[in-house]
Amino acid sequence: MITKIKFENFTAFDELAVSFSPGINILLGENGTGKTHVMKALYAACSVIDTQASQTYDQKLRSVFLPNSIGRLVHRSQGRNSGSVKVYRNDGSEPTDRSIGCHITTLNKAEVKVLRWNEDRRNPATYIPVKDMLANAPRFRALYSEKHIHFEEVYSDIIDKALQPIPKGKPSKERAKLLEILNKSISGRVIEKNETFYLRNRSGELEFTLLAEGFRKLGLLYMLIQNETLTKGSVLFWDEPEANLNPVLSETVVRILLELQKMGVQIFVATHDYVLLKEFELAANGDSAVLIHTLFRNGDGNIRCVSTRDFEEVSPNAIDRAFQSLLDREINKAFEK
Amino acid sequence: MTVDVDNYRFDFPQAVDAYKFDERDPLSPHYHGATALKAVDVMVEMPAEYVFIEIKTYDDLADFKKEGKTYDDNEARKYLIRTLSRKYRETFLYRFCEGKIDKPVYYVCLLNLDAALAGYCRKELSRMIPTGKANKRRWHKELLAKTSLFVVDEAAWNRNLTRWGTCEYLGE
Repeated sequence: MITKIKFENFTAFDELAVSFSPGINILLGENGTGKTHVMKALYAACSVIDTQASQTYDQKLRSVFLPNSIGRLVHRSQGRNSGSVKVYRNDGSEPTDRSIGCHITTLNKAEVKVLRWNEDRRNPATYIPVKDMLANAPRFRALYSEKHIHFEEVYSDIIDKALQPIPKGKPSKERAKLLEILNKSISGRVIEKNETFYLRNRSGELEFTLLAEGFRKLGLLYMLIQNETLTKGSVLFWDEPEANLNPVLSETVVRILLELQKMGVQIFVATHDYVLLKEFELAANGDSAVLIHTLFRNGDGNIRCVSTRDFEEVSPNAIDRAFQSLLDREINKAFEK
Repeated sequence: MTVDVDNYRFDFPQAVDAYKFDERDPLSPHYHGATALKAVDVMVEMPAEYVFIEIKTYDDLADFKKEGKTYDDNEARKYLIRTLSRKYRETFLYRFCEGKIDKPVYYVCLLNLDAALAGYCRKELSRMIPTGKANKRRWHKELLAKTSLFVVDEAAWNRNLTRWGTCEYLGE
């Protein structure tokens, strides 16, 4: 499980350290406060745990952030010409954390340092980007590997994950329960033929391109659960699950995420959405280790983070502020007569 | 003019009158008396308007449980809206009989809901009272103007309604 991340002069951050829950981590903050950067830096680190990984940490950072050159990842501030990111993990039983760090200079030099980071195990990380990719999956992987196309690697990676083969035998009880929930929500099950995804139900097979974007998201979740990508010890990063999702389906998403967490999946979610956050608040109980991280800019314009388990203590809360502003303007409009 | 009701203290410096409306004490000059009618918690007479104030917290939903009905979120929501609308309508009727509907009326529901849920609650309550002219051909008057209904928490009151006065939670 990821335990901590530390930034020094890296992308949007001057200095920032955030400790994480082994369960669900919700990243809140206005646009430009670095929620996606935190998730991408963590994802890149998790992606190179496997001793068989084809990329080093700096290479993975480059391919998921996609800067013009790696030196562009150094935080822009006067007198600074280098930056670093360091990620820590611990399976819960180790006396000290394992770590991986990358030091980068504006002259495009990158140095990676590891402390017991690599293991002989499958890449545990899955990153679901904001935009759906399953509808565009056919031949995308081939295109991505053969040509220089300007897509962050998370878009190619998620197709790889969705296309993982389904294990033989019956799914476990917990997995079957989750698939049943999704089955009901999308009125069918997801199948794949020649890299093309379909929703199959009594009416037949419907291509993902003809399916509502919200259902595609749940369909992706279906594939990741079915092929056991999301399993004990794995880490899920989900950027704005609410994008293109009918708010009514947020309850299903949160229910699934809480169940996955109970199964031992560590989860990172970045959101701007009131309904999603409220669903977490209503559903969370003693069994669910939910930690909320609020990223914000301080008076000097530097990004800071406050973490809390108490939903009512989330501050500053950009989502609440938006609704407060609506309420205030509605009341004030009434007096403008 | 200060009124303490249900762990809240209201201060209305410019009020003509302000008192606990749902007064049960027969010796009080503001004794309500019509026990069959629901009543809002606080009545405020300002120089140019009347303000009805009803306070409801999640704890008040315990009343709902006492009625012995099946408790679920949907029923609790309906109970809250039904109670708030009924309190307004029956207070309006009482005030009509008092001859005190001679100024515009505002209805403020002081709830411990966040701003998003307050917005939803206001919409439901507006439909249930109903605000505006429910029958545009036959209604010549409104029970309550569409823009005269507010659902706020303590912070939203003190940001937006200080033209009437302030509100402070005193604790349990």
